[in-house]
Amino acid sequence: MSGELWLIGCGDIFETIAAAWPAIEPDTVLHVVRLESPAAIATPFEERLAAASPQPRVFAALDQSALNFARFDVYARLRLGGRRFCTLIHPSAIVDATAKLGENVWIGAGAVIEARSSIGHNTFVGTRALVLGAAELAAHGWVGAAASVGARAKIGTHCVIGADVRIGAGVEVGRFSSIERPGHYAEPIAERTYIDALFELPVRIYGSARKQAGTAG
Amino acid sequence: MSESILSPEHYFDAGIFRAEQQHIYRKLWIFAGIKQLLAEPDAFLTRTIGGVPVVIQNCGGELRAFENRCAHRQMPLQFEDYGQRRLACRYHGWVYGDDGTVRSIPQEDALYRYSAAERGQLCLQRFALRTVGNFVFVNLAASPAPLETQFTPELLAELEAISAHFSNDAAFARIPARYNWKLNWENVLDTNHVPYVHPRSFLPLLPGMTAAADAAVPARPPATDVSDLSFSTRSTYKLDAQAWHAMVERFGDTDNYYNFYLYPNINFISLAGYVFLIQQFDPVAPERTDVLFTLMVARERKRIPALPAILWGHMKGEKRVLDEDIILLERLQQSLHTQDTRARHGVYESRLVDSARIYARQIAGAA
Ligand code: FES
Ligand SMILES: [Fe+2]
Repeated sequence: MSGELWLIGCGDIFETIAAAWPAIEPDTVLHVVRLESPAAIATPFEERLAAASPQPRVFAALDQSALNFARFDVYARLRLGGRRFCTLIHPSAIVDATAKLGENVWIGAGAVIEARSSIGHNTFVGTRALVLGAAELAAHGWVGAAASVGARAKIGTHCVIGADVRIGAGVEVGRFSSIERPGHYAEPIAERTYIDALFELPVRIYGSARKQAGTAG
Repeated sequence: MSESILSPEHYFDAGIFRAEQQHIYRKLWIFAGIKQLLAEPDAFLTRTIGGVPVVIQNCGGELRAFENRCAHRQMPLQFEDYGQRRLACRYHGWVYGDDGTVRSIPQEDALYRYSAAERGQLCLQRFALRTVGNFVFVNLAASPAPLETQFTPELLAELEAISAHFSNDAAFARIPARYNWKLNWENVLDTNHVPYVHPRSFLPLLPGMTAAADAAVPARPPATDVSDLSFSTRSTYKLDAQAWHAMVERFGDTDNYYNFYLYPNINFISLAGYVFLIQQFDPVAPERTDVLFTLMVARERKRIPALPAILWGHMKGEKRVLDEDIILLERLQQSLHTQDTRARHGVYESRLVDSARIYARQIAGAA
């Protein structure tokens, strides 16, 4: 790729991507729009892109805050504004040619994305994470550093798979779940389940069966 | 200065714990869960109340409470905290009807050969159930006292009005803690701990809360009745405005911290009518309590896509505050021993003194 790219966001993941430039795309000029905090998206940021050349590519880089809704909000607003997105892959990552990657997807340093796997829009895969054969990651997700998603596993939208979490082969994780306690998970995890060091037992959200929420593209 | 009428044994003795289970938890109306999660056919919740496993099942639109124990070999019928499944046993396939009688037994004639009289006796024990708005209460007593003798009509009306604002979705957490349930009940009655235990997390949100207000309470006559132990308060809450607030039907129109104390083991709070948290101190053993958190927001005016993130975010915040209490209360529990020294109360602790007096009367079996 050549041309220009506007990187917008904040936090560690934003700095990681900015710092890896220009190795990610040597021929692309990078412009950065650093938000003060995820909350700063409440104030308009579009005008900060006004100086961009016609049809510049953009990339929204925020972490997994609020089940990835912080990043989703920036992504959805830019998308509504007709921006073109890209997919960014660290040069040290290994991505199989048959893997399908959506837009605004980040694949971190040393990550491995195996054959026939698919990664939905706006999903981030962290440093040295593994996405094994034919695994399916839905949109607006997060896979932390050194985490792994087993072959044929299916991860729902807006999920957080934390650092050092290993999702077993064929395991399904329902949407809006967050698995942040390191370890191996071999059983299916219901939607809206929260497994976190802060709680000894899983926390659940119960109630109205909700249709797919918070998905754009 | 008054010495507590409760001795250290009241916080670790197995015999006293059994007396509490019998005379308090199997006698009073005990909060069991929230109604809006039970709206679907065959929706259910499970609890253990006074040591008895209980299932509350949506039976053709009506909520009914049964002992959660199969009439065959006593397997629990439902397992999860909340779920949706017909009332049937996983062990040998017995299926129950809406009235708790056994509707069908696989291979009944070949394997069981019950007489008609024996067959007629097979049914689940049923318990009294009352809903107050979205609060579901259960009473395990053979002949329960009216709910209105446990909570005043004014308090029941308040609970009904506020719970009408509960969202359809709720986050639920079971938090094991290593202390007697009464330590947590006393802790929430004691507002004077907030500046010391929660100086950064919680105190800054409560500009109006002072123990001095509680010290003024002795003007209130001493409690004589169990219904005197449950009450509500409100104080000023420092609300942090959020975009989603515009998308819900808030309770009230004031930035209040609403605080309900429902004896024996509920502290229900609302943050400005936008967030609701039911904290229950569920006795598991003399020195073990499960703190049960049920957390909701105000009901949606329009769909909030990020609602799971909002509920989970608040749940984490509330748990961090609770952890500040747990770390102290577990220390307190560990330090209790049989030597008969007792807590000493100041005038601001009149609510604790009232609770202890009526509690002692109850566990003596003289309710
Ligand atoms: S224990 Fe329930 S069917 Fe046997
Ligand atoms: Fe506290």
